[in-house]
Amino acid sequence: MGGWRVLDPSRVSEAVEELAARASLELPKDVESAIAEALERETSSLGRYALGMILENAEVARREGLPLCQDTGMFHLFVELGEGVALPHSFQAAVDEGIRRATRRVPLRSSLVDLPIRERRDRGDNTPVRVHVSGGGPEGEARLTLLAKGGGSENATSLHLLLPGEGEEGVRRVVLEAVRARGAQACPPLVVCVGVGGDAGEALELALRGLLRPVGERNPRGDLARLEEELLAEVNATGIGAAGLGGDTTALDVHLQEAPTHIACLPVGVVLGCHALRRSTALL
Amino acid sequence: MAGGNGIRVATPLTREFREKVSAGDRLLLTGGLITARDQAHRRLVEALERGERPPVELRGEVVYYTGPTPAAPGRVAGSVGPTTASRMDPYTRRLAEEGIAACIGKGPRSPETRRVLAENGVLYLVGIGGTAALLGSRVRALRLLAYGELGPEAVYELEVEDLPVLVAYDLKGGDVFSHLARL
Repeated sequence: MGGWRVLDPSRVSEAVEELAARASLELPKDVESAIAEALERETSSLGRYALGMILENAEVARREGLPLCQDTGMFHLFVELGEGVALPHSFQAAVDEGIRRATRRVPLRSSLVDLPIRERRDRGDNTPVRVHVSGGGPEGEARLTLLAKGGGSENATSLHLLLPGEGEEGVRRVVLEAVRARGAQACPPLVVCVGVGGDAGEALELALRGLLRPVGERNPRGDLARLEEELLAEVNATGIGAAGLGGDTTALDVHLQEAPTHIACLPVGVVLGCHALRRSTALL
Repeated sequence: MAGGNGIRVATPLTREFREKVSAGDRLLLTGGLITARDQAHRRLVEALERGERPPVELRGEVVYYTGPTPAAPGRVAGSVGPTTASRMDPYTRRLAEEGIAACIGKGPRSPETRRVLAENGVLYLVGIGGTAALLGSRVRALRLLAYGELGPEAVYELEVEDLPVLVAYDLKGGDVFSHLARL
């Protein structure tokens, strides 16, 4: 165990502050390219108006240092630990300190409230960050990916507890139902993320992690890659369109992931990511 | 430039103007607006229900559903984009009856709200969700009007120049979201 390195809390705070600032101000390249390509193909005039405005917004945000969206979101930090790296006991506090500093520095909107049932008191600092830890990082390092998720698209998340026999048809049905019912509210063009399997919580977690996969990248399993492509075509055939204004661009991509589940279960989590897909990654 | 075209119009939006425009028209708004989102709507409507005068004048106003980011030092405003309008549906009848001229949000409303807006001569305008940096860059002044303790949910007075918005529901039954009802 002599070779283990524990991450330094102050470096964690610095990294998280930097990631939060970058994610809030800079649309990731893969997302921006996908929107630009969609604009080339778009046949609806209002669709082109919306897509053009979205691209111009990315430019203004970068140039002026203004957050891409006024809803600067709830923050998630995904930590992939490599062999030989461990987290300090104060990891959550260090992550929260990073977000607190980014909130002051950018500045970000304070979007989290305490006492959600009645008082809904503004917390002021966007903490706590939801931390998700897994393995899979490069040896000797930790890969940190920060994701900012807006409330409008969060309200479009859904969980569908299907019967095992409903199979692929059931999965297609609930994904399309979710898009039809809530897609227009979630700031399309969307990245539709689907998690199938696990328990209810894991299905939603798998779906959420779909937002981390680059837009345009397929599931490595051929059958799931095909399902993603077919679902993307069906989602775009709804005609909801960019900003819900109609047209060919309802989604930029569909990301689907599977996990083992119980013999009695077929849970499906659906997360509709908005076009301001804010994520940023660093190695520590 | 995408955010640069449209019919240039100054607030307040007259009844004549509101009756003339059609769903799908692109506008560039200049002048004063007030902001109000979930918590501010709740408080305004609660005050009205108690028979009190709300702390802001609503008649003739354009109400922008937004909770801006704070301004960085040396700037007038941060990012100021529209939030989901349907969350304001339960409060919209009351504000429409108070005589607001228009509201700005994003996404479709309930059929009931669409009717209430038209009956009261209120235009529903949309900004493109998630373009808050662009929209915020068109804000020339921002001042707290009421409910400061609500932070981003407080009521602010904005002075905007060429704010790009789209007429979503006109007063003649036109609806840019009509395709969604057929899904």
